[in-house]
Amino acid sequence: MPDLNQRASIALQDATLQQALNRTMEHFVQGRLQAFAALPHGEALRDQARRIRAHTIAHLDEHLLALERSAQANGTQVHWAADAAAARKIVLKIARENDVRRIVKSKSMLTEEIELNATLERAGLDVLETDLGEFIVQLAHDHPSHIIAPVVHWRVEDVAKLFHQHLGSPLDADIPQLLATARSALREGFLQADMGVSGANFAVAETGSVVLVTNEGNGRFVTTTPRIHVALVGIERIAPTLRDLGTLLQVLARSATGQALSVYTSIITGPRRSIEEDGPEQVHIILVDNGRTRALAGDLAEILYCIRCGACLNVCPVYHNIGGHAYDSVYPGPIGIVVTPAIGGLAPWRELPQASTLCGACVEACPVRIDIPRMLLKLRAQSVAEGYAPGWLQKGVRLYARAATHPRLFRWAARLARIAQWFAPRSQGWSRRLPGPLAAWTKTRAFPPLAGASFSEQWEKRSHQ
Amino acid sequence: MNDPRSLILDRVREALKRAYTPEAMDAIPAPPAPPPFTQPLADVFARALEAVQGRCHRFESPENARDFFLAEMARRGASRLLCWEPAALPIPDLAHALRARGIELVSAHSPGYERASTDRKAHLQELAQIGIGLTGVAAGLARTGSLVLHADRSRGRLASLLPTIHYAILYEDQIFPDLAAWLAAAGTAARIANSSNTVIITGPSRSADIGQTLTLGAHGPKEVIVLLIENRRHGRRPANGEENETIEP
Ligand code: SF4
Repeated sequence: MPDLNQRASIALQDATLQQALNRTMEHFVQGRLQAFAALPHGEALRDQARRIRAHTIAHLDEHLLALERSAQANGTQVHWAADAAAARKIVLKIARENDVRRIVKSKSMLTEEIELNATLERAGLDVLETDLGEFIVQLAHDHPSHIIAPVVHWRVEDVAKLFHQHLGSPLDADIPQLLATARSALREGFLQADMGVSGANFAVAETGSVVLVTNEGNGRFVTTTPRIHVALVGIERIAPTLRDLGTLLQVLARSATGQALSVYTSIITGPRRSIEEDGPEQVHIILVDNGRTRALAGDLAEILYCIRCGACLNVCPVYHNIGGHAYDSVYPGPIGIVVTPAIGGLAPWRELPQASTLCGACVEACPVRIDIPRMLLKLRAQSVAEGYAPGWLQKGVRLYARAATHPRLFRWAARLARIAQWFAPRSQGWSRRLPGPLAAWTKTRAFPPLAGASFSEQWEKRSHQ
Repeated sequence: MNDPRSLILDRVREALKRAYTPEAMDAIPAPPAPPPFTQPLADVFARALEAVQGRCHRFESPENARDFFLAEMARRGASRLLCWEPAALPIPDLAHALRARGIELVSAHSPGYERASTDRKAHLQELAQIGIGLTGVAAGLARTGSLVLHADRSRGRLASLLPTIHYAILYEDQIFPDLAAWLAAAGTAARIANSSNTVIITGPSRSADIGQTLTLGAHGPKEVIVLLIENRRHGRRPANGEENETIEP
């Protein structure tokens, strides 16, 4: 009998579930389009958001120093971590110095990136993920498959089984019952925790604030009930001023889930003042580099404009087809295939930049209009320059040989083979209904919105840049 | 040994010499402004709040709102409320009227609930037993139906977080067109800078993680009920962020 994790993996290949995934993505896509259409100045706000991110990245040193200054002035302790190991060490040190036993976490891709949980658990600390999706992932020893919807690959029945097994809820519990079960289990965790660990959607240089958005409210709990709050902040995550924060927040939720704003936006500006009745006694910001300065040095710096909304995943034909797990990187989808090699180096991630059809749908969806295809071409060119085969699709045999001897690549190969078929219809220009055997695919799925230009046009344009 | 701070800053400066940052300007221009709403902001707010599953009850005067709230408490059979310090509640006589009906007003400072006198976790457990929260707000945002709350000595953050139901009192003159307008208003930046926690609440807590189906009440309140009041009793509009304050630190 396979465990739940394996079952979930099997389910990933299940047609019904693929349909659910596509439905969800389609729902996100429609939500985003409607949310922006409802805003008279939506497109202008996206342009403004791009300007803010471009300016911030181009003046990152100044903004980091400003952030440090304001944060210290409001009583926040600021730490700097050059890499993942350093960041983990700082969190552990804060925990040890404060006699911390129990930790609650709100969803943070950065903590996944630095593999924080394993370190904390090895040190004998209790770590509880409190975002409902991440909680399910943690209970099942699974991995998130979407940066906004971590368990988009889980069915209600599977969640019911998991909760039945671990939390004693009925096997046939419905969604509200399951939510209530999780609410009470996690509520206990919030009230008993000594330390809260969060990421940051933004850190505001003007005020030294950490900004967290959640819909569930776990971001508020993690930064309110425990004695200590530790926020891990990627060094690129800065909003220079509150005014800039306002612009970024307005495009973030619309792009992520199609909401006008997420339910809770917390602006955390230092620890509880001594006269206050609640809130953490210590707030720490850990500024994490971990390869971001590597990405900054050159053609890929634009990827640091990213505000992690997930919109590019939702429109990506490759992501739709293979799901988040197949990428095998912490960040999946269009953002993942650029940011992963950009911060981690290309050598271990050579296959990632190939997982794109360069259709340009991601650029159109991206609230800050990041030119992902441009950077993919740079990465592919770099691969070639370093002596790796350019036309891997044509050299499928070699890829197969490599995949067969590298188990991690094997899943890849199987899924990429399916994508390879797309090259034929695409060279004749995109069509809403795919021809031949692929017609079945478009029958059950809304085809993702495509860029105006065809592949060959795009290729032409980009190779002239 | 190089300390990590100078190491990272050096790396950033070094990288910036080679960074390709399209469209970077030296200064960020002013954000685009949307056309003003043609309808009254209170109407826009009420509609937006309902659209995110919040509820909005509108009153002409604070007295009407008070009577409604008293009836609500009777209907729900409430005996305790988790709330801001009574002096910070923006309806005159509300605290008095509630107490007169035997309803206990609990804030973390209340006698018997003081943090100093008990251990933090036990204290939180106690407060978490209370099902209804009551607060004022610092501002309302019309476009999104959002409530803004700043934490300070008399305005604890737990009253809008722990209970299953959150009642919030909002006056029409506290409503801004949207997030950007509120952030741009005089006094907002200072209020955020001086408050350890500012929260913008847009409807009840929710999750769509299980079965990709929207369900209310994940960790925070399942119900957000706003008492939206047209006129202040004395007709004086407080400065932004002032919130009828009497015991500001
Ligand atoms: S690249 Fe753009 S669309 Fe993708 S997650 Fe980042 S900001 Fe969102």
